[in-house]
Amino acid sequence: MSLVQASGVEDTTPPDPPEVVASPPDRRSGHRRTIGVGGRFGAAILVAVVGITLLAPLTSGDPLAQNFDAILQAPSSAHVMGTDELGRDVLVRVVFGGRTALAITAVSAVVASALGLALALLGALFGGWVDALTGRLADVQLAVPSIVLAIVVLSFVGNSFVPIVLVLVLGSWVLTFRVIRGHARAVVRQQYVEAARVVGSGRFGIARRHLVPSVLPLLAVAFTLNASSALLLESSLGYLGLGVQPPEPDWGQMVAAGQAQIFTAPWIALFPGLAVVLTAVGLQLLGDGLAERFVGGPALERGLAR
Amino acid sequence: MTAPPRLLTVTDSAAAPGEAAEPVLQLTGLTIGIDPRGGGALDPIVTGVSLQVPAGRAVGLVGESGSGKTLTALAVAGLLPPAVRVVAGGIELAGREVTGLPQKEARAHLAASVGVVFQNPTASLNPRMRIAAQLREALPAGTTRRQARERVAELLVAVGIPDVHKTLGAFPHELSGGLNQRVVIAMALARDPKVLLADEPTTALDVSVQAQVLDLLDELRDRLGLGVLLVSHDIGVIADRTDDVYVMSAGQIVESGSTAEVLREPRHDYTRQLLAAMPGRLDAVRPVGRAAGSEDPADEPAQLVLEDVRRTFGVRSSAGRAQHVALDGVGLTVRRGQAIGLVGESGSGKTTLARIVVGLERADSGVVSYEGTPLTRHSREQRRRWRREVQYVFQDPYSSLDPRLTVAQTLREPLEIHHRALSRHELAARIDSLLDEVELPRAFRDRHPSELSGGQRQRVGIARALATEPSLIIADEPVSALDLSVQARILRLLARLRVERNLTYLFISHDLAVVRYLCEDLVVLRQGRVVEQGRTDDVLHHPENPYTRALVEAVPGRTFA
Repeated sequence: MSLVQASGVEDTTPPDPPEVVASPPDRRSGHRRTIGVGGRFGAAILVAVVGITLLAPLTSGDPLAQNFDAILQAPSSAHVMGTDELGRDVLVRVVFGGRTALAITAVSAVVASALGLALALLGALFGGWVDALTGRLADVQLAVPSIVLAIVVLSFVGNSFVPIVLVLVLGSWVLTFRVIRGHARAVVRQQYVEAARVVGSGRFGIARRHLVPSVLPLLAVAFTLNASSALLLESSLGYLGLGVQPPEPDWGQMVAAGQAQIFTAPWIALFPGLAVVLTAVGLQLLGDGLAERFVGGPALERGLAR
Repeated sequence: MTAPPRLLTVTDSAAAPGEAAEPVLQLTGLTIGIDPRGGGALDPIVTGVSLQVPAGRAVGLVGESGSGKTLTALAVAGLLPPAVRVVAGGIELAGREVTGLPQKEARAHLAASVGVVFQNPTASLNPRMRIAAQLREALPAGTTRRQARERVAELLVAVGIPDVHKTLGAFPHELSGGLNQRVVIAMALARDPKVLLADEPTTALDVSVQAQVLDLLDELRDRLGLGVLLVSHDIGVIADRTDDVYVMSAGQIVESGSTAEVLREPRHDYTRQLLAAMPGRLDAVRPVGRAAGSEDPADEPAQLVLEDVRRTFGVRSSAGRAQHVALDGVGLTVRRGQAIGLVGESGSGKTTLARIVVGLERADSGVVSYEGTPLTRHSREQRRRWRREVQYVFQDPYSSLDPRLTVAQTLREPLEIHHRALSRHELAARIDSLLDEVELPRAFRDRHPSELSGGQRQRVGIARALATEPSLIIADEPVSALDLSVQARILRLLARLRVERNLTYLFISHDLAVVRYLCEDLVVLRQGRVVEQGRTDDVLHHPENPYTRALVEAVPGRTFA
């Protein structure tokens, strides 16, 4: 009966020619799959900076040790970056100052990215008022200068590790949020997400299977942006005296302290300042490299799919 | 609208068929290579193509996607993409060899002698420019403002645009696809070309509009003595509209001759395949039939019922906000075992209807019931059942698969949701059997969508829909994005699955031949209303509604099928 009829169809048509299969895209776009020279350079800077600060207790002396026989000495072979007004070695203080600055930066960047990611995904998945609310929150955050917010918050609750991290998170989660939100909203409208809804996937299934994997590359980029903005904000706070308190060394705070001797002993402010710049540049370069590698990705995929 | 405009050069060289008119376009041994890595090594993608387009004749270039027909056309138009170059052979245009010329001269000659019409009119027009400005841009340099104004209006008259003034002031998105394509044709004619190059000029258009645009091309060819090179995958269009045809496959011309002869007695296997895949031919071997033992569906209980469903969308245009009525009180009953074809042109609301049925879209008013209960009043259990039993096959096999997931991961999603008890081993076995069912090799499990062809992707899409063990499948134009021969195979697959799995189909298409192949019942939708419904054969042979009649008459390939 019908089965026989159906097979009767096969006979009237010539054998199927093999369908042409497009070659996998990776081969053609091979040059796009690296983070580029700049990105590698940035990564190298970061590895060096982090490595040196992590190994600080093993290699250098005490950042608080004062030596009144060697006050305000210019850089020399004994003190590579010179000494400050209390005779403390600037190199040792820069290295130890990095430990505080980088720890605070890293923790706040992780928390800020996680917060930005979570809010962006919630907005994209639920849409409607959830999306509107998170969007407004971000607008409010952008309207309040983060340094002002930091001054207000820190002058009330005092400046220990947790409040500083909190302030940095508040100041930088919007970066991740906005980058991820735009992409997530586009992905949610893709047909493959609709297809997932039709087969019965819930919101969290869609997030786990489709949304998060597609957003991860962007998150890497957003994270570096977040980290560099957190680092700069942290240094500004230190410079304003709202961050880590002396005598504990911190880059921003050291720059502020060295300002008094900027004409007689410029090295005191110069080297911690350079450290901030170097780290921020490293993060930016890595971020640009990652952006080049990944953000071309989704667009490229779409282009090849057509 | 009809008086021939005086500025258009009217030649009466429309050669009688058979008479060897002067070729206005002649390709000799054209070979095109691609250099994917920029290293200088060229892989040939078009080899040794020779063809002639005489003045006043239409010549077809037919082949499937990837056959090199579009690259050949682009080479003639001087529009090859950067990594692609003409390696050998000649292009003679209006009596002058183009390939050896310095770039500037070649450009000028091309601009003066070839007019190009591409597939998607909205993509060839600048969305931010008014039609008048775009047409002026296409006129030869040195035209004065005054001349330009007259000429632009004449061109629009020549391509049969009824309201010239309104059109001139409009932006492309305010015009229909058919009107836009006419504008593109007017632009192609702006410099009095000798050759008109039309690359799939009607593929993006509705069938009835298609016929009008092709009529226009015919008329212009006769009136202006143009040589027309019509590039198409649609052998029906080629059969109706061309005098000579060249069949292209894998970068080579495999067969050529007068269209009537080639199609009547194809000598090459590839041509035969193309012909066999024509939907018009499919109905000769109609396979549909219900599963063994089932009753006539007319007696079956209704599985899905739509009552007075309405849906409007707000749209914004330069004229302000407006309401677009997608569905205007649609009623429809689908019984178990039926295969219903839902036919209509773009904008008729058929996709909206399908999306409402599967829950991707909500109706503004009206009732959609599944198994007797309205969707809105489903219990949790009923809802889960509806989710499992009603599945959707998407139109576009490219965007409906997550590019990051392998085939197995895509198929695992519905299995994990609806068959939670499956072990890892059982899951793998299910995936294998699904792949078998849609005739894909099991080794495709680990492939990503980018490593699959369009037809293979659509098979994965079908397998995903089957994974939940559905009883009703809603397929929205599942084959319209595919080549004809691939279409035919997917349609056979759908017909087979229907019998084997005892499925009910709601099959949406703009293509009557496709619907006729698969469905015994037919519903015609126009502007959000059902204008006709009944048994497919009755409706197609004795259409009662004038709109249905127009649809039936507009199907290409009638001269031949």
